[in-house]
Amino acid sequence: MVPQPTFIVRLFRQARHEITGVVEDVRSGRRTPFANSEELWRALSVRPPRARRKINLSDSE
Amino acid sequence: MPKKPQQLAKLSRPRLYDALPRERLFSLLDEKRRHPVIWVSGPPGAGKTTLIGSYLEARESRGFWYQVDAGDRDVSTFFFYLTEAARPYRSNSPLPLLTPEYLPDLPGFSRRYFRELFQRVPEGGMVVLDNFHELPPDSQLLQVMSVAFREIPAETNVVIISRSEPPEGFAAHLAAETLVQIDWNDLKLTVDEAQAIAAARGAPDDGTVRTLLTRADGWVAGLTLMLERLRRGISGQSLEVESRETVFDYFTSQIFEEASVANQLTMLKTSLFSTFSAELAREISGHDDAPRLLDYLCDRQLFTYRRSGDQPRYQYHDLFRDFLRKRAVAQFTADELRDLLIRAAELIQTQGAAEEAFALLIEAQAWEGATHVVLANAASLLAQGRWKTLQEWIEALPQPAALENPWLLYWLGNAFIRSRPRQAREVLLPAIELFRGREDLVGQTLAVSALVESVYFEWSDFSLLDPWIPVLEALLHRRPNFPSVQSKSRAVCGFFLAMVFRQPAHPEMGAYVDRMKGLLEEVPDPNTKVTLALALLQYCLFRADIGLAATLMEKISPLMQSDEIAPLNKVFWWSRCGYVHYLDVDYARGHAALDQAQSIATANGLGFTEMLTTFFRMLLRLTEQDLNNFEPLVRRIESLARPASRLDAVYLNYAMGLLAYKKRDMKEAVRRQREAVEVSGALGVIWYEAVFKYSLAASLIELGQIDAALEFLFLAENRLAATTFRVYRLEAEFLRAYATMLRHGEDNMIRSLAEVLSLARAENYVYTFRGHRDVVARLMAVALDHDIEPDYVRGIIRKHGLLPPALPVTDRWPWPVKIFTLGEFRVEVDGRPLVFGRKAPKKPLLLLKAIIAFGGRNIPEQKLIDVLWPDEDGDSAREAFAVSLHRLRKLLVHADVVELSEGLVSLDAAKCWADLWALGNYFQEEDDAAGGTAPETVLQLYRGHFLAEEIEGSWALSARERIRGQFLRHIARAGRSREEAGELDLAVLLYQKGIETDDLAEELYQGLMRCRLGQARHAEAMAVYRRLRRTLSVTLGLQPSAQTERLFKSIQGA
Repeated sequence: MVPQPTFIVRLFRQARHEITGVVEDVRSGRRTPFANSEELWRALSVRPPRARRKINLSDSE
Repeated sequence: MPKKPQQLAKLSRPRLYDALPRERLFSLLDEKRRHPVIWVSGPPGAGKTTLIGSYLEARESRGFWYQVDAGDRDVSTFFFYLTEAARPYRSNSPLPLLTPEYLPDLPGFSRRYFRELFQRVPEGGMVVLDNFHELPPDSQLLQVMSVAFREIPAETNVVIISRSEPPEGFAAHLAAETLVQIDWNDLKLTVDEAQAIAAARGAPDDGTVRTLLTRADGWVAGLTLMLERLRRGISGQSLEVESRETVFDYFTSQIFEEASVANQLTMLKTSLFSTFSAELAREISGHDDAPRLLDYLCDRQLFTYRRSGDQPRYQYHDLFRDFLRKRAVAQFTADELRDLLIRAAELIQTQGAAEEAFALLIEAQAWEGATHVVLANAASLLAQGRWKTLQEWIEALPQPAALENPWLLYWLGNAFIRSRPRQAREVLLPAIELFRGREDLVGQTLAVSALVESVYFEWSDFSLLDPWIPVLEALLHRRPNFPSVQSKSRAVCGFFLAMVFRQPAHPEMGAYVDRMKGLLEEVPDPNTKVTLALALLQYCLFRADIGLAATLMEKISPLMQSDEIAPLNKVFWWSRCGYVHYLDVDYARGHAALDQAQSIATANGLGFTEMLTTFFRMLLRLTEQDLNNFEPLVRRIESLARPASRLDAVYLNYAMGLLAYKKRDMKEAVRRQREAVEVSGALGVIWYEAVFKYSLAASLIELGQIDAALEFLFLAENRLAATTFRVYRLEAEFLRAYATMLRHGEDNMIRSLAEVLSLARAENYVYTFRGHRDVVARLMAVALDHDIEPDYVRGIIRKHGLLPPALPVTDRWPWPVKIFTLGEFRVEVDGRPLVFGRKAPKKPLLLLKAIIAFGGRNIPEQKLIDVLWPDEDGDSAREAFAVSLHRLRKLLVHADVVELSEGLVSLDAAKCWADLWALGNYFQEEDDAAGGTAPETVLQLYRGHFLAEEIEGSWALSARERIRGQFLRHIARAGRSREEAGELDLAVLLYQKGIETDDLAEELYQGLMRCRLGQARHAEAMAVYRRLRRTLSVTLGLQPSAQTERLFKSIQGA
């Protein structure tokens, strides 16, 4: 199964029509800033990475 | 005492010559053998013994033959000789002697004894008890035999030969047909049998035989005498008159008169013996031909038997012997008879037949000789458990003259020591006086040490020892010339125990420990060795000297395999070993030792020792915190306690006090411990008097009666002052420190705690009173917090498995398992980090992490399965969980740290520490104290993010973020609080740590800027600002807030 990416959304400032913060990709630690809801959505809409091929089943505990 | 020949006579069956095989009765016996016991009864001379003897020969049946006599009134004598009878039939375990410790349960002892005895009887064998009528009707042996009858295995029979019918006590056995009879009607001779007997003796015609048989009424002895008379041509009256004994005497006298004077004298003189060898017959009669006469009598079946054995011995039929004894009285003058009796006693004594020699001397009123026999045999009789026989012998001597002989009094006292200690002292006191009058140093010393033993065995009032301690010390100081190392051991051990129990501060204690050790090497007898070792072990227990105890156990425990060691000694030994392991906190060995003690006690009917083993086991259970098993043991002690026993009262009240203490019913605990203190005071064991006061003090402290507690601690310390048991003063110091803490607060207690711990470390003290282990745990936690003797304290906590007290405890406490999850994942077991080789057990560790992430308590098993095995189906996921749980428990060594109960998984917070929990406790404390707590703790604990390496699992993520958020909030608050308090350095540290965790937390930058400004470190304040601006710009494309800009401006303007 392809692992779904996990994000943490950290809000920095939030006003009535403004939302500022970063989206953190838990796996890579990469931080993507956003300054409004569209940017937030874009940051969350990245394609999931391809599943890796399992090589050694015995290591899979 | 040499005894073999005479015993063999008592224990050997008659050897028969040409005895008539009475097939009719043999068939009857064959038939009756379906029943376990056959009771053969008939008048004397009815042919009972001959019948059974000839039957055994005809059927080639093996077994024991036992001639009951008056000596068997002492049931210990019966068991002693029966054991001798069984000696040729060896078995793995020896038959026990009936020593005093078994008397409280005589039926139990009898049951075990006969089970063991009957094992030795060859298949199809018989145990014959001849002359059973010799027992008085109230003999204890009847009760013993009633038990024995129930233990007879199939293919084995007991045959009882008696002149009388079975007593009423055997009615149940008769009704159940366990016991069947062959009686006088069966035994009466038939015509055929009479003719066969007559044929063997010169065969008169059938008519004469029939007439004689009618006159004899089937009586074998009568027919034998009439045939003999007929053969010798003697005429006289018929049989129809008077009793059989009279008739027997009449006919016998006619035949006796026919014998030569020399033969008559031989018969009269040999009749003084119950059995005798040819040599004895020659010696007593002075008649060289005596053996020929005896063989003639045997061959003619004239009431004389040979008995089998290494050396054949002769024995007259009771009727014939009675006749001869009466003739002897009539024929000899009183002086002649007395001389003969004395001579017979001398002769038989050389053959080791002390009982018979004593009886002859008593008959001769030869008191001096009789006294000599008593003194020569007293020790052996006591060793055989035959104290009643010894008592009877001494009481058979003329009083009060006998009571003026100190040695007789000494042995009488010894006879009573175990069973009637008070009575023992009553006779030992005059013995001591008489010895003193005679300046008999050995006698005095032995009598005083026997008196000391009587106090020890009574276990009721050790203060009785007080006047005798200086006396015994002075006597031993004069170096008595003891007759044996055994008696020397007894005296030295008596004095040593008196000191241990009553005067532990005695200056000679150390010297006597060495003497005892020396004797332990010197004494050959294994039971004496064990007695000495037990006394030394008692000393070790009182002073918590585990080193010496271990040496003793190493030396003595292997002896316990030997059958030579009395079972009671084994029980006492293993019980005390159990207590040593209690002190040494080795629960497994403690239980194993007590198991040994209990199984030996059960196997040997020593039920009275159960109180001791139960009490020690109760202490073990309490110490190992097995409270489920602790209370039932206290209840068992309650049911075992005998109302009249002071020692039991001490055990009971102490145990009940501990139970109440555990249940936090301090009022009841104080009441019980007070009772234990009072009774132990009456008991007079100094150590008890002190130690029970400690427990009372602990309960009083909890009840808030601290002054009273301190008073008892003072009294206890006084009792043990200057003794070698002083190690216990540390216990008092500990309780005192605890009382100080409760009364004046922790800070005021630290100094005294440091002092007592320093002493305790120096003496390597192990803490013996485990009743108040919660107190110890609390003090140890305080000690660790203050870094007082941390290594020693951690050692004690680990050794005793102390649980952390309820208050938050830092990671300094030596938890069995410690789990670090903040910044790095690490597990420590018993202080050592788990290190994995090439391949770490990933799944069990993941399980542990998930348990922590979900809070560590009451996590549904299913929740863990769902997050850790999301792709597995139900059963295989559950199986995978079970495997991982098993592996995790193995990994953590302390398997019970991870609990699974009713589908809920928990970590035992009493045995396991996690940095996350400690952080949670800190946050809680911080909230409660509104920021007043020490912030360093949070910095030490939060070394990084929670399980930062677990990037896959959302279960770790949510916990991680929650903790991160809490941490940052607390950092901000603590920073502000320190800033306001002017503690700027600390505030800086906090803000910096916060920024490390979240580099976008503008509030923390602001705080740091304010602090630097306050410290007049403007350049650094501006650097903080620049770092913030850069981070915000790069990460978010934002500028600092207006508030930050204002602050920056103020820095610029400063």
